[in-house]
Amino acid sequence: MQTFFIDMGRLIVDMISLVMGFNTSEFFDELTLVLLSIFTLGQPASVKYDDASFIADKIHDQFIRLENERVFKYTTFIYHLMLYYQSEHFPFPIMKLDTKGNPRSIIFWTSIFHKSFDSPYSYNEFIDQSVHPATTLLIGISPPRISGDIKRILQLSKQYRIDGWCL
Amino acid sequence: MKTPVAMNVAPINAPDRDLDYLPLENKDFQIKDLPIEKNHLKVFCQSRDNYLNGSDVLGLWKSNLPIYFLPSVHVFHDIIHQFHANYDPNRRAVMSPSQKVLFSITTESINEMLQFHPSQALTPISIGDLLDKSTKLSQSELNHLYHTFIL
Repeated sequence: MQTFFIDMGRLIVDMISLVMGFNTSEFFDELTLVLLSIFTLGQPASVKYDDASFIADKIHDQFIRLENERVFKYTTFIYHLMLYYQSEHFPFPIMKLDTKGNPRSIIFWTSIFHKSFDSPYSYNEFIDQSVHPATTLLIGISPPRISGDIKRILQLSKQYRIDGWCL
Repeated sequence: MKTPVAMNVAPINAPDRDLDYLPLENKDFQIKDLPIEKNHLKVFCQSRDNYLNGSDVLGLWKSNLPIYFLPSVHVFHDIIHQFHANYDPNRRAVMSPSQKVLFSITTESINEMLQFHPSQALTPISIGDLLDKSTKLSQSELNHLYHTFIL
């Protein structure tokens, strides 16, 4: 269905899809039509939905079921929440204010974990400066740079330790 | 040929799990955000600018949708599993090992992060209600959708 939309329609469908975290196309067409129907040319949207509550509930549900279903569609929200509430633990520069001193939206604080061609950060920097500090917060210690499973596969023991930073 | 003595040793730190009981299926491919090609930052700015200069003819900005259109990010599966391991469903929060709240996953915490403070009551999204409404869309509503978004 999406291929038939004009650009504006496709953009709104993309936004709806991101909020809804669609996993299958089972209900996609029906729900999308209803959510699109609030828009009319020249008029404000007829309904304002509580997207945040929906997203919070979906994240909760997907975490509860993650072990069995292994479905998670809100990585972007989780990363931004971690950055917003624990920003002092990350080493990369964060721009919280604009040039006039007003608070900037979280999406403009940094592009380190954005999947974008124009991000100045490499994937390595993403791992090193965001994944590693976040993992440190989550497990309480600075984790090795390669996982325990990989070390076991490589049969690395403490004797093979090169230094704390690398391993 | 006889195995050289140097190779005939037990592995160091062998996995202590029985591999027969490990699931062979890797479903981590389902842990990902939806692939959307749009540059979200540009879309956000464009939507806001359209609203400010009066050219937002569909009322998109005021519908609040662009606020939740966050940028695509690199998905790192291990850390998603770690967030999950630290998630406390009763508190609806991701916790540190010392039981400090790292961040809550609630309506308020998400809206606070996005600096969105709704000035009016918002309509809850219910999949059941939406599916119900979808079966009741009239022909004129479908025509309206067709002319607005498809033609």
